[in-house]
Amino acid sequence: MATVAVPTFTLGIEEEFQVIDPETRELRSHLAEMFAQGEQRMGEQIKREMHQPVIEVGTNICPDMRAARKEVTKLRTEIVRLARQNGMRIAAAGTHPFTHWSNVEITDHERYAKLIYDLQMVARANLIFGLHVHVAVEDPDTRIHIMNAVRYFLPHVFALSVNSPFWCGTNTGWKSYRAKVFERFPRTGIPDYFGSASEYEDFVKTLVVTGCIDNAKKIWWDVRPHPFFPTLEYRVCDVPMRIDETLCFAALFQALTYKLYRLFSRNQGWRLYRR
Amino acid sequence: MGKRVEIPTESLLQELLAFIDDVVDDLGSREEVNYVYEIIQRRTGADRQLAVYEQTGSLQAVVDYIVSETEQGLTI
Repeated sequence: MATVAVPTFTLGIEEEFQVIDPETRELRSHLAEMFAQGEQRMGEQIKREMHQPVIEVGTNICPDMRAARKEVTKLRTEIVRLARQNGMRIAAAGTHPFTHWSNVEITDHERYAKLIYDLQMVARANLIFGLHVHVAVEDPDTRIHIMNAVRYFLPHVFALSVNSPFWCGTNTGWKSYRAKVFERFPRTGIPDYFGSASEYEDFVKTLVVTGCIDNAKKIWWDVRPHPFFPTLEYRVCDVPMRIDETLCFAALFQALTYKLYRLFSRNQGWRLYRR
Repeated sequence: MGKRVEIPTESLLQELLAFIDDVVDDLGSREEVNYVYEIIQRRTGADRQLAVYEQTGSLQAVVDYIVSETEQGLTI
């Protein structure tokens, strides 16, 4: 690893939000006009999702947490303003407390139709909201080594982030029912150990040639090497209510990535566990 | 070998914070990392949602709480 450039550990943060009708407090579908306005103002930083009441916003690449704080605050402000101007509200939680998934409209797009064809009710019911934190680790092998080691710490951060106790009007008895909903999907949870980047690439190729997936975006683990960006993407957390919580979890993931890199660069490491 | 016993979550969080402590100032993220203590004190999002539900018996009130927390710190 001595010949490999030091990672930049730059950050990217994506948050998935709920669009709420302030009268009924239900999730709201049919938001084409609002999304059109959003795309005009925010360009590619705002994204539609499979379920119509879901809005995802993503920061630009942030060199550090100070920049990330500015970006996340700016995006939340813009999205809340956009919603309010359209008579809506924005809520950040891993599930909606009572809106039933079967009452929510699906966005008309080939990608979503394919997902529903493949996974049927499991996809249809996957009405959940997450936080995704990207930390740049440019070298692919370094990225895989850090991914292996950081698995141990995923439950630590997850425990702090739980934010979805209700599902379809019921107190589920779970603190993150989002995690229970999502685990019905294949290729979720904590990943297996991979010996190298090429071992991971071979795994992806096998899934593609056997028709399980069309690309690596359909690997949805709690941490994954992003298929297109040179980042480790942390996906284990419910989207937090407060900005300060989002920033806290992003800072923890960045610090864990950096610390594990530092150990590896000195030929040290963290104990590796089975899944 | 590891400890091979059940460990309370707060001890594990201390372990996490101790593990990263020597890199947090390099990254300039001390303020953000220290928010862990605030979360431990204010409880998790799930605990806060449940507390609102216990006080009000209303899931509508829970949604109102989530919306107000989501806007916390923003100038709308």
